[in-house]
Amino acid sequence: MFLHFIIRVNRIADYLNAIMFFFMAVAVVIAVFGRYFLHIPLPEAMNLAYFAMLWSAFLQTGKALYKNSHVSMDFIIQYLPYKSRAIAGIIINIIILVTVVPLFWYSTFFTWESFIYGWNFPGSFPLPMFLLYGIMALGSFYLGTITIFKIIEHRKEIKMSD
Amino acid sequence: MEYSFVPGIILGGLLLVLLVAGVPIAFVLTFLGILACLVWIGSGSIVQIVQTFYGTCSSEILLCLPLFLLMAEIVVMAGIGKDLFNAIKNWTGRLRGGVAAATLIGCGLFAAVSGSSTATIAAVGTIALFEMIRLDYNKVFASGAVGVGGTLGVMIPPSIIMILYGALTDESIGKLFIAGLVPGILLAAGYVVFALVRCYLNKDLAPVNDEHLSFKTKLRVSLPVIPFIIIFTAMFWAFYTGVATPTEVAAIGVLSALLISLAMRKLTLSGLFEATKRAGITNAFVLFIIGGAKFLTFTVSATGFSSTLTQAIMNLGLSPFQLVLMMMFVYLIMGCFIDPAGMLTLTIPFFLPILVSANINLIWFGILTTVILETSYCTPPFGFNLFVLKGVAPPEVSMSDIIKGVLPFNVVDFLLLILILLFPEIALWLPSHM
Amino acid sequence: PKETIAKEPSVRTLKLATLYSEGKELFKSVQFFTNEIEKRTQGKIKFKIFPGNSLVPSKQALSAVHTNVVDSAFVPAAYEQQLWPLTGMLMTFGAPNITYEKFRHIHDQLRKIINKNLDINVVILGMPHILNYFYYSKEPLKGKLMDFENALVRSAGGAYDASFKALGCRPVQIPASEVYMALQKGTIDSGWNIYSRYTEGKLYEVAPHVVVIPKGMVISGQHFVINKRVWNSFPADIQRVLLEVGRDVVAFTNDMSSASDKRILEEVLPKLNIEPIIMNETENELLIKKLESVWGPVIGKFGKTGEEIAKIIGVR
Ligand code: NA
Ligand code: NA
Repeated sequence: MFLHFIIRVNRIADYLNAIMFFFMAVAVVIAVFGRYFLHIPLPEAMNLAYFAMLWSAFLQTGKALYKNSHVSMDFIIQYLPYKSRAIAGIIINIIILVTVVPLFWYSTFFTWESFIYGWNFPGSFPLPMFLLYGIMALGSFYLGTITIFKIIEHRKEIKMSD
Repeated sequence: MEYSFVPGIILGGLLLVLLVAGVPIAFVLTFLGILACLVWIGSGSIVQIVQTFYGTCSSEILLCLPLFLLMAEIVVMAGIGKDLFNAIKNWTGRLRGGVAAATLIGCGLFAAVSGSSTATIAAVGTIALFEMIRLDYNKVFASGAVGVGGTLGVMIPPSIIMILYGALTDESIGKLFIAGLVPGILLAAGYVVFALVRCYLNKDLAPVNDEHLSFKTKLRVSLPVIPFIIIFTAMFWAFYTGVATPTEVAAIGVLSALLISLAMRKLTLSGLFEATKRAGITNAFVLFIIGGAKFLTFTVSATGFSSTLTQAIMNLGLSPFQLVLMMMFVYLIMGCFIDPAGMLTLTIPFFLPILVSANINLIWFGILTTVILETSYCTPPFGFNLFVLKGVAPPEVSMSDIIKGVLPFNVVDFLLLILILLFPEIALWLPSHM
Repeated sequence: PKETIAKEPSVRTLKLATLYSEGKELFKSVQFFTNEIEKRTQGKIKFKIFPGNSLVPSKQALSAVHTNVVDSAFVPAAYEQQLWPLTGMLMTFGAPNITYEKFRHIHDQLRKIINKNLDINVVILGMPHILNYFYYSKEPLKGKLMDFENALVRSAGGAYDASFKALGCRPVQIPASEVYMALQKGTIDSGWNIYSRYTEGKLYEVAPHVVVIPKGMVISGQHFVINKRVWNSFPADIQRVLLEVGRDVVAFTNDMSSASDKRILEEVLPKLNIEPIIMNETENELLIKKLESVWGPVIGKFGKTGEEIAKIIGVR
């Protein structure tokens, strides 16, 4: 069930991420061509690229953790016996969870505030700020979900080895 | 003294322990930042985590990172990287280590359009490491060459480190760029010579290409390199004619890579989707490391580390030359724990008054600082290029391979540092004659 | 906070974040401010200054005050317009010669609007009368409105974009750190700042042609911002001292800035072989008229008609 859910979310995140990369590349290219060849600079396009970058990062960070792509120095842990490795895995994921909880909590706070007060992005493209803080809340929530999934998986491993 | 070194030392120790214990780097940094807030600064400061990650992941200057990553993935997916390295192999022929030397020169050329070490390593590393291992290069040696090659991104102008230094010290950024030109070329040449000498001394590091090809055949097998040359030329043209800034050049790279791959029918839609997936994951973890590093830098600053450090250095009563040596030593140690941009913001506002009153040439000091910060991208435990390279490297390359690979190359950096310390003209002659 | 080493229980050490560091002119204002407060409160209020963005980047300084990550900050007006929308507005219109008294009055009104939403208490809203520099890389300027026509000018977005468009410029968004390079390579050809950014940023090396605009946009408003809860925790006499020093520091900064304006024009630029053209009054009035077209719509966004807010601010 849980795994099924994660795989599904990852797939959705991949599609959205592809769209964000498309936005980034196209927005910058349009900004450059508009400025140099048509003499019409489009500062809004550059802003759009920054938003897409933020979205992409927070869409992919949970999946990166799921795929063990968040780089770590694994040269000690890989030599541990099976059960100790699972225990270490639990501790590592608890540490990750400790960092993710405040990130989720406070980005939710900023999402709420920016929504209530109607803050807009202070650049050329006045996107509502809650869309930017919102993806941070969503992305870090998913990151937390993955750590809990990993803790459960490691517990299963420990039980199996007993 | 109002503050002490205690928080800094404890944080440094914990950083080492947690990194070696295998906690993902991005989260080690953020975790320590949170810990520092709870213990020394006040839990209310943890909220800064949001603005730090927001600022990092939507940073104007970092926009080139995801774009260069995408460009590199497209180049790999479309086989353009493979064609390029096959051609290099044929041209360098029986010169042992020729491909490594060519890769380093490639890094140097890429550095002339990219101001960032991270972007350079992300783009070149993605392509080159994979290909060098395919060509039977020793994986430790290959990782080392690519790892230090990436640092040329900040040593050869344009350079975000020089821009940051110039902004913090009010020194001319243009002058810094010109001053960095000779040291940057010296460093690139030093790496090339060092790599070739090592290959000459140790035959296991690199294979020799025994096929003897006629000049005509060489030319013929080189034809597939043209797409790569077009991509590179497009980026150079865009930057040096003022069409695009270094950040925007990345998008020109993506566009030209995409158009060429599609025109040559070497890239399918699903291949392109795969490229965005791979670039997306690398982008996410790199941005999270940078965000974590910035958050940790913020807490280190709030503990008053910089004032303590400055006070301690002032109390030593050093001569100007000793002062510069001392600061370089401090940067060397700090560079093992803190990211280069963080080091500059932590120290320069505090060092600057001392440097000015000691009458030290700030351009010279800036180039020295760039060299030592450039080294810190590769010094463990916290070395940016080590992490990015691990992220884009084939699975058989371990973190210890990368660390063992880059450390010997740092000899070249220290030689350059000593040269500039003893002969400031290496940095100062060119700007004073232009 | 732990680092407050209290010799007597009533001593408060406030964290102050600023983008200026020793050697930059406006750092003297920061020092004047903190020293005077320390002196006039008999050491009851002290400051721990984090210079040169060494604690938080200046773009995040206001929200850091808002969330009480720092107690206070000394920042230019341009940053974080989403938190502080009226500052963005203040920069867009042609600056009339407002006296400090009048400005204080405007500022008190503004503070009410700002504080309704945020836990930020603006103690000073400094507005030195500093000359505006429009610099251009390609050819000598004439000191007329036509100088702005089609200029590719670096813009910080938002209200700046609108103002530049009103003048006929083409605003371009590029990172601040790439401005020098972009001017050098011709990616953009111009910029609009006060003297310090032009001289300290060495932009004259790549954009040697300058028009000095006596009445332009107010770009350099300097604000001392303090967290509202911290502010409310002070007894009335301390609050009064802070406001008094706030008033004095504006005067101090204004004197210093106008002296520098003069020195830059008469000594520094000639030494660099830069010959600035000073825009004449007629042309300057035309420029302000053009900028005023930006007014209405921008202010309209904040829930009141442009005229109404303009009346509150007292410029019409
Ligand atoms: Na470079
Ligand atoms: Na390092």
